[in-house]
Amino acid sequence: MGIVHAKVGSRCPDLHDESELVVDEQAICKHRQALNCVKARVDRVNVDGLKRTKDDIIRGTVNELFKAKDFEDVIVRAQKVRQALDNLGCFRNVCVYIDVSTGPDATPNGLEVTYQVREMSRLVGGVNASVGEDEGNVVLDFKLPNIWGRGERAQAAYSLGYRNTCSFNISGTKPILLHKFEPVVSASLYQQNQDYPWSGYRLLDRGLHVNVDLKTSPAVRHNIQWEALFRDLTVINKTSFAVRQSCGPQLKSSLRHTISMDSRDADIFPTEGLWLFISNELAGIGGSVANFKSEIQFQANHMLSEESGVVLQTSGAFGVLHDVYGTMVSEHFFLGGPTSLRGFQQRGVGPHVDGQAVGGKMYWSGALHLYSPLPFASAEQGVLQLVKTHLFFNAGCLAFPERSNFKLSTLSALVDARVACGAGLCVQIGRTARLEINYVVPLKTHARDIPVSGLQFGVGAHFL
Amino acid sequence: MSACNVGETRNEPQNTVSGDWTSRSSRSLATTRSSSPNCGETIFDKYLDIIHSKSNLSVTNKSEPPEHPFDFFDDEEFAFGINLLNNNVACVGDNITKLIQMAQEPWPDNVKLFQPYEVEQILLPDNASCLAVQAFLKMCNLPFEVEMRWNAEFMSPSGRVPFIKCGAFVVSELDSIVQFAANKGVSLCGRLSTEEKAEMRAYMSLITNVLVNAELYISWVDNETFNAVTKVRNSSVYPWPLGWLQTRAKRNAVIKRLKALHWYDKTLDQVLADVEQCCNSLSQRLGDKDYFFGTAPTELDALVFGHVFTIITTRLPCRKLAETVRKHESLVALAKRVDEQYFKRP
Repeated sequence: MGIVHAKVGSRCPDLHDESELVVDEQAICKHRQALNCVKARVDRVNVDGLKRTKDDIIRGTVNELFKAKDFEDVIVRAQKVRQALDNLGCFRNVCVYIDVSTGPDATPNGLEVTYQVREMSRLVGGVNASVGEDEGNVVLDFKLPNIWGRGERAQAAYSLGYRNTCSFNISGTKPILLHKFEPVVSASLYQQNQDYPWSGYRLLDRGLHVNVDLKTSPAVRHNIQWEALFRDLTVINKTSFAVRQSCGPQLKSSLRHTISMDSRDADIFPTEGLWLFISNELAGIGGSVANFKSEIQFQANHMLSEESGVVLQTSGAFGVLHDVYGTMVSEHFFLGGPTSLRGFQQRGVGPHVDGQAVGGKMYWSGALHLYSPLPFASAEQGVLQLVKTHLFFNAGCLAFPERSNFKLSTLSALVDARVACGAGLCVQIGRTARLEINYVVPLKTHARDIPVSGLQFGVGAHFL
Repeated sequence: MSACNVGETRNEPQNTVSGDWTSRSSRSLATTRSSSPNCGETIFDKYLDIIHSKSNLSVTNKSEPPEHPFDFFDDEEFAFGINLLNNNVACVGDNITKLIQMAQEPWPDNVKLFQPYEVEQILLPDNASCLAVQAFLKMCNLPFEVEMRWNAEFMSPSGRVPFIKCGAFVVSELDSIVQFAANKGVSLCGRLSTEEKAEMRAYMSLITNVLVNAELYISWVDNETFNAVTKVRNSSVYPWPLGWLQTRAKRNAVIKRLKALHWYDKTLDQVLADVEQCCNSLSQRLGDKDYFFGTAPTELDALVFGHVFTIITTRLPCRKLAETVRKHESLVALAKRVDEQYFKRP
């Protein structure tokens, strides 16, 4: 058990005298006003249930509480600290109790905050289902949480997908706690084997991945990653020669920086807020591939009317790949499919050779959605809350501009937009995934595209 | 009900085998369309339909070859199918019949031969087989362009170089390419008798069994050559440490192959003795003729040229292989003859 004692702080002047006089509004408001008028001070913080978690990180995390000056502040901070303790990744559940402090050291307004925690066991394992790029996987994973008492963890996972995908990874994560940016350093070794039937190839990736995650503000995250990758591309007998040319082993070493900003109120069905993701990748620090890849994605949500729950969502993405040398098919951008540009087959937009997608170096896509809850469902609760209907309109373009007369052909190629619209049902699965069944109508297609009209079914974590 | 149907399905075919074939089939076809027949009869009708469609197929196939300038035997189509199955031929498409027809179209002008980089990458065994295929194509007077790629062996459907890209087809290694050209009506051994053809195939397999293995042995097992030449050249196209990994993996694969063929346990002298014997029988067969089978070359000549020329012109730390081959003057003369006649460099 860790007990943290507070020092006696300087008496703070009562700032709320005036506001107390002004209060004459509604009862709820009065009550709230009253809470932050009650002077309070945290005398002691008890953390109950610690076994191997080190005291210093707990002390650093709960320190926040001693700055509280009134009761509301105490409650808010207590909740914040609870969240912070949860985020350490050491505890299975955290409960908060606030009580009047007793004993010889108690001050008149003193409070005692007790956190009841349960540490995670040494070894956690599980079998999960996960969804990736329009593919379901079964994941078998083992975790060693909180190895040395400061949130370090080691993890091993093996996943098997229905499309012959097979991957495993071993990773170690070390959060640097009590730092302003909450950095998390992680390294992983992985192998991934995946089929891409739309392009007729199979990819074997073996790599080392080092990642530093920084949180510069509550909504902004930065990731700095270095990846060394051995990649082997193999083809089947019926693969087009355009793809066949990319065969062979390659070594890629790349640095990537990503920024994500998320002010949405939910991941799957947000009603308000903005999400922005920018990724820049520079490959060619050693290895046989050198290119620069830049991608930006965004999503904006706005609730049109509170009572009907209709949400307007716009989203878009843009990407550019600049090849220096050794860039093969697998590095290209692809567009189309139920999770990207609906109304087209997976990778069904853009350059195709012999019916196989060869990808492009530049793309944009955008979508406009109108979500509304099911007409007969009560808006409050129930499983129907996880289902929404949507109307959508999406457009996009993928181009493979030649290096010569770069600018002109780029512009003309990117103007050639593919458009589709449709309506359907979206179902939230778990906390991060979503399933869509849509009736789609491709409105504008290109001769080489592979459009889908009628029902289209998609599962994924991120949708356009 | 169901038991009754099963009984009928068993009975029907027996009746028809003894009965009149055509009248029976037309009757049953008519019944399928008009009345609703029972389960057994529909199954039987489907069976008949399949037979009909198959016979139609074979009829159309047989009627087409006469329009073609060359005669085709089922053998060659069969061989094409076998190559397709053996991953020596890759092509885009699912329809085998259509592919066989496409394979019989005349030789296009834009054929490309893919091989590793000659100057810095290619190894002795690969160079020999690339040269043999080039010689064969030149002997056939088939136009082609050589294109060098670092990943040629990975692009090849069989994993070995060289390969040619001809229209929708990708064909690798000499045997399949010879077969492929024969499919298009181009052949060097058309004038040979069946016995001579068999003899030629025997000599060709002698070369692949002895000379190719000897070249692999010298390149990958002989330490001196491996360290000074093979390692450097094989990893030249990869960045560190991929080159090291690839070389190690390839060496293991070659050693595995040689072990399976009981070549790995041989000493260098034993290998050279085998080569000596192989060259002896080749030069005896050649005698003082211009080519193995008379005055015109065959694919055997192309293969011998590829190997002999490569062995005697490649500089290796281990000179013994080249010396062994060089002793057979008739083979060297053949190589020079082919080189002068078909590889005249302006």
